[in-house]
Amino acid sequence: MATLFAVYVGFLSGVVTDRFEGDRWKLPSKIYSDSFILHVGQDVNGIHLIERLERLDYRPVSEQPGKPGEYYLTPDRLEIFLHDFKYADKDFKGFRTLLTLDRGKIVKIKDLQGNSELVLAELEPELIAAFYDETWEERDLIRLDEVPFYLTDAIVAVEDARFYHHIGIDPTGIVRALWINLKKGAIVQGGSTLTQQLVKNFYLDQKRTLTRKFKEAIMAILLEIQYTKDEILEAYLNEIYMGQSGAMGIYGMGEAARFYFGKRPRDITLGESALLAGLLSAPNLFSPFHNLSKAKGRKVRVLDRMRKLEMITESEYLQAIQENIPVQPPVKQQRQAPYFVDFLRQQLSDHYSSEVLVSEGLRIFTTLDTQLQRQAEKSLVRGLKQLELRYPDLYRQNPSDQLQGLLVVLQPQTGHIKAMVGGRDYSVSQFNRVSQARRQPGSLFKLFVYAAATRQEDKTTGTAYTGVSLLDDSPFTISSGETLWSPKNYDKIYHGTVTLRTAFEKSLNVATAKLAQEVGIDRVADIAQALGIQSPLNRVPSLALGTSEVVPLEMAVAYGTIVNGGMRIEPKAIKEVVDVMDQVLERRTLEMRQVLTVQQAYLLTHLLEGVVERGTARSVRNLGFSRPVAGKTGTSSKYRDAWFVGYTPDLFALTWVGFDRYAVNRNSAKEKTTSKGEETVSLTGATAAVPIWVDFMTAATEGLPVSDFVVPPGIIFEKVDRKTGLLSSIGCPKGIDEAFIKGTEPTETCHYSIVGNKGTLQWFRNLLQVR
Amino acid sequence: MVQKPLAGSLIDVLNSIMAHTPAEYVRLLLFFFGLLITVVLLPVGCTRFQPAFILEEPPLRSFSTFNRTQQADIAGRQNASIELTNQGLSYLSEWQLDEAISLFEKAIALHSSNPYAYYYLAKARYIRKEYTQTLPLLGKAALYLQDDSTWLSWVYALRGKTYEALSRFDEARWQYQQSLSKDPRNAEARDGIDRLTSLSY
Repeated sequence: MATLFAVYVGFLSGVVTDRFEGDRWKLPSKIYSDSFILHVGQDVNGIHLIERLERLDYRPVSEQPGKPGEYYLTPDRLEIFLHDFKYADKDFKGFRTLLTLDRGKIVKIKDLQGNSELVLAELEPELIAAFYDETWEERDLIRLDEVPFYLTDAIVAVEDARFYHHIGIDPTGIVRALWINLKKGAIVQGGSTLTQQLVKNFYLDQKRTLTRKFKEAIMAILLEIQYTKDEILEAYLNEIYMGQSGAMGIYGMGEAARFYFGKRPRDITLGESALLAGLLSAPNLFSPFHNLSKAKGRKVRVLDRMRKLEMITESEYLQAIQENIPVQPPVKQQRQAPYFVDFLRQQLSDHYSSEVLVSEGLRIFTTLDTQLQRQAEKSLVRGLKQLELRYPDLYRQNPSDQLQGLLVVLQPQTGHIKAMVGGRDYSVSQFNRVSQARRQPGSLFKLFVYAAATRQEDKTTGTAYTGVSLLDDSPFTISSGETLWSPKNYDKIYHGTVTLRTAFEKSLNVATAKLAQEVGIDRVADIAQALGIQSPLNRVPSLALGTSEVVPLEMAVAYGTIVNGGMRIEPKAIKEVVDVMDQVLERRTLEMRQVLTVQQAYLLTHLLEGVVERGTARSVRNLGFSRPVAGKTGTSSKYRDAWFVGYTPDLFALTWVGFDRYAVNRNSAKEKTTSKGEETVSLTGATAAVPIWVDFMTAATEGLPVSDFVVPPGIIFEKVDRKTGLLSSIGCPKGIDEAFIKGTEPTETCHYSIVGNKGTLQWFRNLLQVR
Repeated sequence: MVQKPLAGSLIDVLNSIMAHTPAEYVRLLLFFFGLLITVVLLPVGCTRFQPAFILEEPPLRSFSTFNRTQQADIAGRQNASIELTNQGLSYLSEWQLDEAISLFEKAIALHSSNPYAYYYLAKARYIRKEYTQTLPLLGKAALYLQDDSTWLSWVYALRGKTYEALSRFDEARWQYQQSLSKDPRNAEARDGIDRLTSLSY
């Protein structure tokens, strides 16, 4: 019998050790946004600094901040006590920072503790989401030294006053609990020590049987033999259940401090510690969010116990009682940027299994800007609703059938995805239209025709294609497989001889299709793929007009290559992945490839600027966006897709509006549905997509300095006549500045004004007696 | 002790002067003249006399904050980007390439026209033998350094080293030559040309 018992104890000892020294908890991997750099010259309102601080759990105080997580704002100063934060490559210790303000702008940054002026300060990344398993336990691991002593004192006082004196079980405590329960005639007090509670939660199930209690007692003693009190207490602080947030369980004091008070554990007060300790016996019963009076009463009892055990003084007791108790969670648990998080998960799945993501507690640092993300979501939803109000035919009762859209924002020079909105409402549809949809790009594809042209010689002139090359916008028919194809312009008019620029700005289908034939459809497809299109392309004549479906994110990459001086960069959502031991598992760095020369890329940007100034995207200006911008509208055949892609030198955004491709049996007018019964938006990119883009970019660039596109070396400007493409002169003064690669500019001058006032011109000729 | 009268001391001095020959005085004058040159003129000359080659990149140029509000933001952003670049340089000098690269990329994300960040990012990638990434990054650096021939020479020199590493020797030679045309003092380019010349023999 003794031998059997010894074997059993040996077995239990192994169980205790294996679990305690192995992976103790399933820790969800946490996803963080990008950090935010503060520097001189920034407009505090323009960068929504206070909103950012509040999302990062910074609290306003009425005097100088004394603890991490506090800020103090006056018209001429903003003092922030930065949080400690573990970045991927450094452990940042927070300090008091002073931003001196002048009319809302930062004029100086100072480290108040080091007493030195700073060039920049960094706001830590925001936690935006986490990957949970089916148990959905939210836990933030802490060390014992990260917890204020009065929290551990409070826990010991109320749960196990003799914790430091017993050996895992407390016979005195058991007898006392028995006596109290007998007197009351009910179970009002438990006799379990903290160690036993840890064993129950960590190793065993919740069954209340004698056998399980016996096992629990042995394992508690074994735990006490093999590990120190501090190790056991630390494990307890991280294991214990502390309440619910919807379907998600709150586990451990680290997460509890954040959930109940919006604070790190090291920042909680004595009163808050007492409240947390009071939750241990029944978190949902004593939660201040469910029953404030019960929570208050419980807190007072904990403080009273601490006072009796001489852990706190009378004045500390009285002060702690006066502290306010929160009545609702200070931090919203809502998941941010759901489409972006899904996209991230997909990217991570190449290297990390689902099991690793939900249990290994990785920290994933991303490129997301939460302010831009929020703005993108607002702009898309607002824009779609406004379209439905203006065009009631677009409204659908069933949320699954509603008009949809997407908005993706990139920083072109780094490929960083700053915002991603893959649909109108994630709760209705998790389908990420940015990265998973395939749609016809329509006129957006014309960029690739012109990109291919800039790399070639015009066969008519023997010189390179430029913005003034003459194209023929007259009817033509071409065989496409076994059929004949005759492209038509949007306005049903043929414009005759036009410059390449005019054809591009006005998005003329006929001239573009002809140009594509001259350049070669294969060349057009090749350049599209080199720039970033990965979807297979049907190499038929209509490819030039965007009839081949592509993924919107690919289109963003392709246009982004133009913004980035001809360098293709793959879009990046992840910056670093760090494990629970703070080892950097992965760093994703800039990867770029030169596809076009910087001069060729600039020529295309210059063409795209013209689209906004004079062409199909004029509504960008009409809607009030005045910064230097280049862009292209896109409308696919039968108006199924409405696009706009536009960029400033620093920010790029692509918008799409349309219906998801579901066959719908509707008896509506022919122009509202295709022959297959699919829905169409029946609006152009300029009408449907541009307003959403303008709404977003206006807000995104508010308060930022205006910057213009850098002209690379080797580019010259000449004033040219818009009709003939020849150099402007007195005879035809109404020209525009056209960009050329040096050596490709026209040399002939335009002598006669096609659109000028011939009477006036003749008068001058007579005056000068010019024949 | 009896003190000599002042007049007597002066006469002794005069006598000691008259005791030397003219040749000795000439030698004395030449000595003092030489001393004058060494003590006074040499430091002046040193500041004006440039060494034959410069062995490392010049310091990063920071930007002053203008009074105009908008310019202040641009300058502030640029300076913050330079600061991040300098932080990256500290890591680079310690061969902590991952941290350096991370900071250079952060600098570029903050201010995408920071040529120094592109240059040093290219250098870090070069050290890691990631040559296909070095060249496009240097292209970016060159774009924003058009007005700075000293810095441009370093861009060309690093391009030369990259081509050399890729065994594209003709292109390497051309880059080194371009580097020396921008700044004849560039030691990297000089060494590169010498290496390629010795290879061809």
